Amino acid sequence: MNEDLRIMRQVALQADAFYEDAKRLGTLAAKCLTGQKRSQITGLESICNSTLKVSDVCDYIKMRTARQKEWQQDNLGPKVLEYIEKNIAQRRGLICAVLKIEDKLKQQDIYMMLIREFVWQLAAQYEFALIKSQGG
Amino acid sequence: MTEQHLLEQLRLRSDAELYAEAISFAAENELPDTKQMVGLLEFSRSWKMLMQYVKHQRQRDWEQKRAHYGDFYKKLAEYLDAKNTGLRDRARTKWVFVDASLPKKQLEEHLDRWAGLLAREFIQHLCAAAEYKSKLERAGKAQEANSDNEYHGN
Repeated sequence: MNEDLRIMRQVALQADAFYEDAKRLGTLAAKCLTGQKRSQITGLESICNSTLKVSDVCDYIKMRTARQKEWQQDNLGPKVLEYIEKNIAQRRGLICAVLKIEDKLKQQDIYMMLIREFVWQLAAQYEFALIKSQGG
Repeated sequence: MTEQHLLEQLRLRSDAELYAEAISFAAENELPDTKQMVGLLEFSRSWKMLMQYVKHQRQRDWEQKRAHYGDFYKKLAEYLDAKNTGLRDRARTKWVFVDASLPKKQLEEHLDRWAGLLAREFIQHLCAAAEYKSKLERAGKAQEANSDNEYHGN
């Protein structure tokens, strides 16, 4: 298996491992942002899909938290930010240790791949929780 | 050094160093209001514009309640442009964004560009850190006030 495939497999394994956490935060996002603020989640997905820098994602969450009271409710913003900065960073470290990846750019790419998976799961749960809350 | 390589270095430096440095800078300094920070971000499109703006703001005669703004801009100017330790010199010597063998004029032009891009990254992180810090502090104070009111039976 070449390195790219091994990275994708490790990212998939880690994504399965944080699924429950993403569900928990997605449910919280549905509670805080409600259906009225859907653009906040699509905005988060959009920045994750368009940037190569982890710091752009973190800056986005900080700005949203500072400017939108819904992100402050139940500490939604700080919780998502902390998860990305600590938990996902640790998982990136694990993958790089397992695959013996020392190249800093590759490490950064793996971090972004994990964040995209996490935000994708969070956004899916956000939509699901909204439908459930509407009795769907 | 290809353009591609330098852009990769820029994004690495931004995540690995400038992000953490912006958080420290926001924590260690009394910050100006959001309007000032937005202005700073606006002027960070080029190195020359940014330095002119920072210099201008530093030299302004701030009214009493904004007296710390001058200190903030002084510290920012040092962070960006201090000899040897400033961002511009680090771009040249530590991170080697420019080829030292270039003629002086060309070297300065290259440095303007790459130091400007690095500064833009730092300022973006600083603005986010500043707004976030300010909001969390206000939320903390509001929570304290609520707790006091509950304690005093209000």
